[in-house]
Amino acid sequence: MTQPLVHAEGLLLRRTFENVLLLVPGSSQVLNLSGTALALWECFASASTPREAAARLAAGYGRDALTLVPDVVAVAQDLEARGALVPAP
Amino acid sequence: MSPAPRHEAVPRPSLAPLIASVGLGGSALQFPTEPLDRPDWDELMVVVGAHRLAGLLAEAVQKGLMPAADDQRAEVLDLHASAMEMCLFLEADLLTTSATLDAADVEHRVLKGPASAHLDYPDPARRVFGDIDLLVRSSQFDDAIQALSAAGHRRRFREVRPGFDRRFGKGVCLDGPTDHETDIHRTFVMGPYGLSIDLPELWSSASSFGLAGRPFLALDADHRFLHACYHAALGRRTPGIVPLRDLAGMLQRTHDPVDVARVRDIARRWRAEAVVARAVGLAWQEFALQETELSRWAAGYSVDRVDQRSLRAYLDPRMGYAAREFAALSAIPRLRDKAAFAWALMVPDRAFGAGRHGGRWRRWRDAARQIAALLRSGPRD
Repeated sequence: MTQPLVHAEGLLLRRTFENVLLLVPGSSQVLNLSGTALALWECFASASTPREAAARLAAGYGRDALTLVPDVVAVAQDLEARGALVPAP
Repeated sequence: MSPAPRHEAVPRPSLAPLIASVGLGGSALQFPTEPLDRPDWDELMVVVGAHRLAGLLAEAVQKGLMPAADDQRAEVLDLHASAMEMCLFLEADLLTTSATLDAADVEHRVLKGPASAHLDYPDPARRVFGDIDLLVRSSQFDDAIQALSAAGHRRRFREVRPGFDRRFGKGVCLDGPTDHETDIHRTFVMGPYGLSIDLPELWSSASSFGLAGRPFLALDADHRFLHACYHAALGRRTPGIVPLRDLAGMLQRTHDPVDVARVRDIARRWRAEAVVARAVGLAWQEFALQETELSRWAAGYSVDRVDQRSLRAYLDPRMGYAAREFAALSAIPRLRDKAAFAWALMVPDRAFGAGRHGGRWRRWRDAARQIAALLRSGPRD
């Protein structure tokens, strides 16, 4: 998964104090992101590959980027499948 | 002229106004210094849920205004997240409902909940709402209902007579395809105060906000404030704390501020000064706000006999639909319209109210009692 991803347009969104809630119009499920999932979400505010996002996340959490890549790819794929992330133009 | 009616005793837990006052400047209400014990906390959570104050309580806890133990804080954040989930689903409904109206060329404005959340609060996550309200023009009212019915919305109540809603009604309550409520309004309230509003004026200006990347139109800042006043002063016998919070917050908003002079001019023309005075008085009382020129005016406003009767039709527990509509007769200018209005109410369609009023004769009897009580009772203090 090397293609840059970015937040989908047309999402309904609320930021609470510890979470971001996302609803893709037409979906029946609100995505409730907190903690590292929320930090990862923020990484895709601008177009990023999962590897780039993992590197940013690793820097923020003082971790090795390579160990984060599999988890980041999995979450990014899930968010893409749900319509919250889309391939960057 | 007699003194303005005093705010009736409101059986609402004292913490509701306190929580609702979060974010308002100049409130003298005091937060507790220690976390509430479990029974009080549980009661607070019920009140906050019922009055849709989760966003403001979350802010109070997060900012340390409201002391909370760790488990209490977690409960608040969960309650807030649940409330916001519901708001997102309602906003998804708004997207589809608005698209349906657009496709039918029905112009509309978003009222109350989503409009207030996005335009009147610093963060939409502070304002919880439970339905979608839209305003449409009287001339397009039937088209709106037809388009939404074709899209799967269902009326909760039947029309008194064909064309009544478009000419005299407040609006229609619909259950949408997602089973959430959508209210289509023609005016702000039923009864005399709803009929004296200059409805075309509401369409002469607008504010806009974005949702899911598309623009929505709402009433302009002054009309939103007036709508909040109608909602707070007349919407329920026990005034809702959220519309009071909305109007108090609107007056403190620094961007796109409410033009108080214009509001008072509009209220005078719409014969709604008693409504605005009552709403402002209630808000200042609930939130213990510092005096302003507007609050002094509201406190000193004298309600004349016509307004006393009109207010009584909304607020007296003995009054209902019939009393409000009887009081509305005085607000209908033309004799022909008065006759049509009265005829529709006296001889409604047979299906109207089926199953709700225990039959036609009982409806007549209840209406007669309400009107007699409205005519008989003296001025309230």
